[in-house]
Amino acid sequence: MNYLARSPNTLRCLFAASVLMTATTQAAPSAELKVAGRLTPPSCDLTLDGNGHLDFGERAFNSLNADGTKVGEKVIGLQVTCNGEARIGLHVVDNRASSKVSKAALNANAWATPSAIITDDFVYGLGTVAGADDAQVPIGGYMFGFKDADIMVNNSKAYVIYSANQQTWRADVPSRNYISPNFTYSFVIGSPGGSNGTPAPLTSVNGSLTVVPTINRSSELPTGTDIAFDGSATISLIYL
Amino acid sequence: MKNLPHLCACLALTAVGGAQANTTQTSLIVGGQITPPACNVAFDGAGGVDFGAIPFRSLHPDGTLLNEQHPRLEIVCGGPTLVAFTAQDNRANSAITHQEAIAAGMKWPYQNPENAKPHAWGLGRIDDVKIGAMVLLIRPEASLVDGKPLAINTTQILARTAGGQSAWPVHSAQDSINLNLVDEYSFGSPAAAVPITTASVSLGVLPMLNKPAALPSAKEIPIDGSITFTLRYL
Repeated sequence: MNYLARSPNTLRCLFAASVLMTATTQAAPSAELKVAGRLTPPSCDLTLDGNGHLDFGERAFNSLNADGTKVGEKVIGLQVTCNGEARIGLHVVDNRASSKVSKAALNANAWATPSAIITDDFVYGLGTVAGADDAQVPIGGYMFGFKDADIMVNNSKAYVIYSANQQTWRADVPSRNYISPNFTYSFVIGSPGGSNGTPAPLTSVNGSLTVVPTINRSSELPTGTDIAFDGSATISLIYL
Repeated sequence: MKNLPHLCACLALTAVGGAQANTTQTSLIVGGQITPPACNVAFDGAGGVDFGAIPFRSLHPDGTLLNEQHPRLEIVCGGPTLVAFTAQDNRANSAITHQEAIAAGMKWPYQNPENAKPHAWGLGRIDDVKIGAMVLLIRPEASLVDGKPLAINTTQILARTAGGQSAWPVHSAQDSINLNLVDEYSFGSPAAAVPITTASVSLGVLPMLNKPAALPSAKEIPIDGSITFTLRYL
């Protein structure tokens, strides 16, 4: 019933408003060009034998050296399988980086290699143990990498190349035999020759990583408790 | 109810401006506004181009050029009409620029070195990373106006700064013209556009995809370019 109460003014206003609406639908003719497509991701799986657990067993405290102790190496299998050819790389992050012992703190021969080229950048932490006054004492460090004889790519012999920027690749020894979080690692099929190569498209990698722990100076470590190695590194597959 | 008339009065002012004093003038405005569009514009086919599924592993480390595709922009008018079109990038700021690509040692699609200013059109972003860029070309050699091929002595495709009143400094019946944001495009002779009834404009779409190392590789990446073409009556 309210409509009956409208003033003529109201009606005129509504008319004007409807003109406005008509005008706004009066857009210039236009058409949209859609450019579509999709980049489909490669699919590769990375696995480590034994769920990535490596056990170095027990060692008596009184067998440790005063200036660092190299523990017998162990190997762990690593496999990459892809659903099609992909250029891949491996990148490692040390989850115990703050606990590593520097190379210079121990006898150089207590490490996997005494080579000065394999610097602290190649050392991973083994975790810490509570020492005197509950201070956390680093247990030691470890190095790991692929030995040249231990890599097969697409069922052919291959070797490791590494790069700081994923553009320029190197294959010099001993660097290619150890893995640092500072580099990306990939593979070239064949034998290492004069050329450093570039990452090969591949469908499979079958290799094994050799891991060599080194225990801190015996005088640094507490003697009243079992000391468990607590190294942890995450290996990631990246697509190049 | 007392508020309603006042509200409407405001609306009326907004709609037709201060000169709107009574209903007779309103009628005049209606007559002026409701002119049906003289021309329509559309793309042939499904309104776009689709580059399909591109395996990530097939990407080139220095950027990947995709094969050129040729959609057609179809303009149809009720009768001979002076009309131009402009293009607007709905994915602005997602394009790798030519300068960025050259600095990064990347490939770049062909663009005409002379005909109109080149422009890099966006393909969208993924995780805030530019997916790539594309060059868009107008291809006079494959276009038709009123059903006829273009020729230098009859009708050419023209370009000038959008909204301009001048003659058409860029004109071609053969060589491609770069499609950009700042120009408008029409048909006729360099001195003046001519009325047309239909135009079928062949475009070249030339995308370039970013370096695979810069793109996330663990998920599907949709290529998502979008350009709106709008007609302007001259």
